[in-house]
Amino acid sequence: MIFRLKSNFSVFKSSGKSVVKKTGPGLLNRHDIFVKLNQPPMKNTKYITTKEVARLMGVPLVTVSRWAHQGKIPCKLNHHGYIFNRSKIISWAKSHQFHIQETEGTIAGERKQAGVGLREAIERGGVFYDLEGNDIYSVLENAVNLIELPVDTDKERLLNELINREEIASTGIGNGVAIPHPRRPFNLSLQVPVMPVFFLKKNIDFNSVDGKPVFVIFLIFSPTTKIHLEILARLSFCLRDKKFMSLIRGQVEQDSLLKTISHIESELENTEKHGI
Amino acid sequence: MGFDRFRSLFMNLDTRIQLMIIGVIVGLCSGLAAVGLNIGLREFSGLLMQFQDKLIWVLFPAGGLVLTVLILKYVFRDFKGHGVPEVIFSVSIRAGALKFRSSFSRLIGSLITISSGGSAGPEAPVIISGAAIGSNIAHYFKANEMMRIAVTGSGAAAAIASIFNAPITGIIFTMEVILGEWSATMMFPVAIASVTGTIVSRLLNGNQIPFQHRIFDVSIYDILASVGLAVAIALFSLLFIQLLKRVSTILDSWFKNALIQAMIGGLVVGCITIFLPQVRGEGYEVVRALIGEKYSLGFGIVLLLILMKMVATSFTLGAGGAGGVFAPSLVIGSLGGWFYFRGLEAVFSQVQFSGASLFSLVGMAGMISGTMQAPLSGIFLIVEITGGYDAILPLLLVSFLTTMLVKLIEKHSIYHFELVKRGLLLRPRTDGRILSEIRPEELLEKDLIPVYPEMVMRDIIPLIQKSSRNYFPVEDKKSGQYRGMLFFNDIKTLLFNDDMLNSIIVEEVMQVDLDTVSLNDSVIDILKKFDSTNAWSLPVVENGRFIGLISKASLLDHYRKELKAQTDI
Repeated sequence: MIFRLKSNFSVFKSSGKSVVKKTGPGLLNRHDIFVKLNQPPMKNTKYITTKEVARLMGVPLVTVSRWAHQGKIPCKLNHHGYIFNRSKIISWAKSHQFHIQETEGTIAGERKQAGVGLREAIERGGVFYDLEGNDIYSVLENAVNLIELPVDTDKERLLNELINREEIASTGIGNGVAIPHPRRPFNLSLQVPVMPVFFLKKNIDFNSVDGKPVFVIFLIFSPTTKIHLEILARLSFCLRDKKFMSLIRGQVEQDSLLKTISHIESELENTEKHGI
Repeated sequence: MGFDRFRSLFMNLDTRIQLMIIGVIVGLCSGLAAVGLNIGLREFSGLLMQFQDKLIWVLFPAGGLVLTVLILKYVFRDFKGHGVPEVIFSVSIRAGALKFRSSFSRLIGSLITISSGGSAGPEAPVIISGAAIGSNIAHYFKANEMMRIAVTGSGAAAAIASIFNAPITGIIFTMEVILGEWSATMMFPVAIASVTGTIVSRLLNGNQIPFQHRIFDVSIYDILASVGLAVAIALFSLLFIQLLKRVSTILDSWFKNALIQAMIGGLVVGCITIFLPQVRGEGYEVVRALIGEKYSLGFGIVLLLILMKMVATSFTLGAGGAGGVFAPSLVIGSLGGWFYFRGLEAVFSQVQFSGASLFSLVGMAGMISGTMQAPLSGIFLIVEITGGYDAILPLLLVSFLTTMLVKLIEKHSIYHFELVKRGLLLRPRTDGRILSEIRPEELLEKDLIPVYPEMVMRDIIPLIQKSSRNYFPVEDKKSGQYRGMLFFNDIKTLLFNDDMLNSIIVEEVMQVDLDTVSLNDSVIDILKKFDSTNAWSLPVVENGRFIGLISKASLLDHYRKELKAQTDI
């Protein structure tokens, strides 16, 4: 899966004809992300611990140690406790029809996935200023032409999807912000969300819920619905922040925008961790 | 120090080699126990024989039983009973763990009981000693539970193998009666121990039923007649099982004191042995005489002997004697076969039957099948005693017919019925076994966000956004005590009503009368609670504090994983 994506990105080409101002890393630098995702989460040593077996097989820790105690699972007993031969465990699990979770971050209850953060999504998408356009259609067309996408992407279809979505219900969520996105995860062969940000040259009417003209567009491409929801949740948290709103109203520089976002995100993650 | 080094060396070995070594040790110990017990029985009985003509002879069984009860109850503090159910209980519930003192307490007890004249078999004491020796060796080497169960079974196999010089019977008996599982991993140490036990027995002449191999000329008449034998043996089996159960409960309910029970039971046995000395002891000489066709007793006397053997055994065991029902079953079976053959001869005097010896042997197999619900053990015992397959057709017929006939009335064998009644017989890979192995803490869902009774609905909204679940435990703000559960479903209408948001507090809408479970509950109990309350999830409360939630969904998920883990590939 990941290898296929890698090759996709190697044939990326820049396709913006009227790039007004573009800062920060674009889509081309996404290799870094894949290297990170690709890293084996476990050291490839011969023996693993009970905890790692539990993660690998997706069962509670107590269950693995009970199985070891009962002799159901191949293991050895040394003075630190039970140790497991990695390859033996994997073949045992496979022969007993267990689903093996080789990569990290899939334990039940762990919601945060690698690369889902808002800041990373914007970094991948880039920040664009002074986007031309007088109405929804022209704004979206210019925006789609500006962003970098895999060469084989059907930009016309993508634009149609976005327009389609606007016709059903406006994505203008009020306070001068719009979040256009395709109805379903658009087939961009993405593994992570991408969110380019566009500041408009002049405010346009977006049929927003509060009727206010729109001055900034967050274009959202998510690989899955779950990630889409996560991005929406994070974005709405940011937009509720007064300091953030005043920053984007002033068409802030990319660096300070990203800094603010990561600050807000870490705040959000902290409350999630520690409760109220 | 030396032992510890030996142990750590041993623990580094491959599991199969460990099992083999333990199997040999267990086979040796068990075989020696069997032979030793038999020599002891012979010597002690011989010593007591000199009092045969005196009146005090009547009191010997009573004295023996009282002494046995005293020793078992007050010296070893062991339970009464024949021991085999204890081994089965241990492998089905306690992963094969047995007390060390069980490895010799029953041996001593049965030595006293049987040599003083009580009617009981020496197999069960040897089985429990062998199993206890195996279990404790496995424990010493920190073997895992599966290995310990296998090794505990090995002790039982070696006991049977060495008493009858019958290695296959040892294996089959263990698989059929003790372990209830036929897998190669389990069978391996059992077979090793069985072989070792047989070798010990052959070297030390421990075989209890030596039989000169001879060819049985089994005709079609014998096979037809064996259907009738099966019916007769099934009746004897049922009678025997009933007597064993009844006498024990009657003695228990009439006499509270174990010593008085022993005295009464012993006196009954003593009175019987005055008139019928064949009833005494384990009774192998009767079996030997019957299958050797050296028996010349009247028709009526044999029937009386069968009934009295049953009564004497029931009283011996019911009164607390140490010993089993294996040898008495063999005695009753051989007498029953002989009795049936004599009747047959009288009715069909023209037909040439194969002989009393064949019917006695087949009767023994039938009795084992009937009382222990172990047809294969019975068949292989006779095959190994006679050293040939000549009698296999009537054997098969009688064994399986008897098992089926007895099963019509008695669902469980004499070894199992008590455990089944108390819900303690959990065979491998059955629903009960799987549920009993899962512990509640493995099912616990802990990612719940607690709320306080004083919170208003508006405070709940961010928690609902954050939580991945639809329910919230309500805890006391100060003490952290569990108060109830708050369900999203119950409050969702309130959440969309702006007036209510600030005026309704959690305490007013939480559910307080939910059933809770504790981590000490078994998963079976928890499932029963699910069924009786119709709930999908139950809060787990320990010392008044909420510690998590158990849901039917996670239970199903875990149950399947457990089943997969137990599946043999």
